[in-house]
Amino acid sequence: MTMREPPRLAAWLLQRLVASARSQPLLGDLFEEYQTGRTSAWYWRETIVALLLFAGREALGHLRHRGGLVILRLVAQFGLLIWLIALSESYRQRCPSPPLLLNGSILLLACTAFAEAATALLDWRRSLLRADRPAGRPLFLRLSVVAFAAIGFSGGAVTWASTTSCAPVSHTATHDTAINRH
Amino acid sequence: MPKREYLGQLELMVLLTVARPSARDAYGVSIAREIASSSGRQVALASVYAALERLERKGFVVSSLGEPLVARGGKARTYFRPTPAGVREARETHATLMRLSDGLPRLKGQPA
Repeated sequence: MTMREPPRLAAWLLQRLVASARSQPLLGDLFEEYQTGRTSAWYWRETIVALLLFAGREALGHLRHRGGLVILRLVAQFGLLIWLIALSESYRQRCPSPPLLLNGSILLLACTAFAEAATALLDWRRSLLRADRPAGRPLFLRLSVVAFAAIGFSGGAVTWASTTSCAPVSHTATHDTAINRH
Repeated sequence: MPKREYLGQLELMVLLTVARPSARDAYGVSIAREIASSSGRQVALASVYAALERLERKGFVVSSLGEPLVARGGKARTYFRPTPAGVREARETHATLMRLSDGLPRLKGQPA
């Protein structure tokens, strides 16, 4: 028995744009029904309905997921920034020339770049695999990467700050000496 | 009053089709054909799957995967059957519709 080949582009679009859990049984059904003498126009109509119903919804879900991730990332970075500023301020109490403020900013940038690069790499890998992922797993992975980067770099900053030698200058003492001279 | 999940028109038609004793191995194509022959209207397969997905989420149907078939381009069928909750929901919705339509002469073709 010779099988009729359904429109390739339509089948490809369904395969690419609709999650495989949905597209596989649908593609099978469309193939089966197409063998009964349905036209290409019918196949295309079914494909368009499927894309409108599923691909649009999946894209919206993805957008929501990404939106949440962006907010979480901003919150994490803002928290990290506050932490580094507080750290540099407390260091400034002991050391009048604060190298940590500058270095902290550089570390923050490095941390952000690392987190962004890691998440981009994950995105790229996923797009290559085109795997249907369970909800929440990539978010967990990304948060782990951001948390790892934040803790790692900040921990490094704290260690570095505590070991950096600094000649503490007492503002009060200098000021008092100046008054005594007068 | 307990909170109930209301069924849409297509959801109810799909659920009733799946619940039919003859639809022992109900899947997308068979459900769409049954609805088309009963209602006289064509229904897109994707719409059937969307309704089935909603019914499954509500716990009214369960699905199982069959074997890949050559006649389907190597793709497996996904079979659906109703859960006891699904049968109960179909019965209650049907009873509600009957009660609501009862006493409406227009529905029976009589003048109001």
